[in-house]
Amino acid sequence: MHWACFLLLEGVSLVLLFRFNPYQRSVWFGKATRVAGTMADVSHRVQSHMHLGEENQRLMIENLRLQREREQWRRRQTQAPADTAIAGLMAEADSSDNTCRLIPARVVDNSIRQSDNLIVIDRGSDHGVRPEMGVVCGTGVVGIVGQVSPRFSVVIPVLNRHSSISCRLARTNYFGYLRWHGGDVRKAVVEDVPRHATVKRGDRVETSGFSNVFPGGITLGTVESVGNSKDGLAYELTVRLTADLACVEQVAVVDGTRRDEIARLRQEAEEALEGKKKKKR
Amino acid sequence: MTLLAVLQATVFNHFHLLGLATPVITPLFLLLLPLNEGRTTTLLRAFALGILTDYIGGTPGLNSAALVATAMVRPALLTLFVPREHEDDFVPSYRTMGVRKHISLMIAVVLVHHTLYFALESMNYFTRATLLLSLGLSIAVSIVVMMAVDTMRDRKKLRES
Repeated sequence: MHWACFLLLEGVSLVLLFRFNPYQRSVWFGKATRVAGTMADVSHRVQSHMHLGEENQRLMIENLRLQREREQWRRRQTQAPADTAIAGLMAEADSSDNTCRLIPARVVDNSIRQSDNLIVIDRGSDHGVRPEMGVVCGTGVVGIVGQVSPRFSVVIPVLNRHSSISCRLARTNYFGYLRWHGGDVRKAVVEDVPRHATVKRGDRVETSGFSNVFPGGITLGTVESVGNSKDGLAYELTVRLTADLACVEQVAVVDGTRRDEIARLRQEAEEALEGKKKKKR
Repeated sequence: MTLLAVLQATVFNHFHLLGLATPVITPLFLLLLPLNEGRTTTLLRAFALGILTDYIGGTPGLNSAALVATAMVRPALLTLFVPREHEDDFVPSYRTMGVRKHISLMIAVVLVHHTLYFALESMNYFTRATLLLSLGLSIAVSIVVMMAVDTMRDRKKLRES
């Protein structure tokens, strides 16, 4: 009883105090404004945190674009002294190279504990993903698409014993294949590097761009140690992967089908031309 | 009660010792109430005194808020200082409970009241040293004035009887 009475009387007093005294009222409103300001600040921060995913995706694609651009510049530079005219033409061809499309995707399932790991991403045939397409993330290569459903795809990552990715040493251009034999999830090996190749620790390993799976110049990792293959005919390089597949979240599928289209078109054109020649005869 | 309100609002509110200390003697009312006064009636009477003082002094809610809160904790403070064996109509005074205990009770009540009063008045929640200094000095001045008023009242009562 006396508690209710106390709360009532105290409440009335405080309402009077903050309503009818200009000073207390202004302080009260000042405090209220500060509280409201703090709330707005917090909600703004939470919101910007929510947008970090989009931001990440954007940065990853930008990063990949820059990696490819660097690769083009590098190629142009190596060719320039040999024949400036041809190099110029090739550079032009390179800069108009839009044969690669990137499809942003998100990892929905990922395993790294097994010897044959698989990653599932949330983009499938409905979004233009097809088997044998490459998958990359902001820091490097993730793997190659294995199977596709309308809305999801299974990626065979670098960390799978069946994976084999054509790669080269960025400094010397020697080729090899990146494989994984299990064990450390941050390390893979490059096999079939010829004996006469010069390899140094810290050399960058990147995609070769020979297949249509990946464009050239995407970083895979750096050489950590140089060893011999089992038959002793080639080097076997231990490579530290730049992409940490244990915590990869935002990825992009490399759609090289436009290249296929170009190749097919050329082939058709050539066949048609030959057909005409035959007719003329 | 009315005399206390008028005195406080017209005289002591305008009394600023060293520009810092202002005696607030309204808690004396709570000290003069008999021990067996009901809790709800104490609260209501404290509120009435506070509102009256605020009305005359032009500070709505300030005195009433501090007095009602002090009235709420009064029983707890009384049990600290009042002897266990006492009559039903026991009234705390230096005569009934000894000078030292009575002053202790006074200090406790005034401390609670003034802390609330000055916090509400300045709205600064003890961020500045001057506020603490002002609080301490006001407590001292208030107690002196309250003792004086109490003694005068006591003498008057004695003369009448």
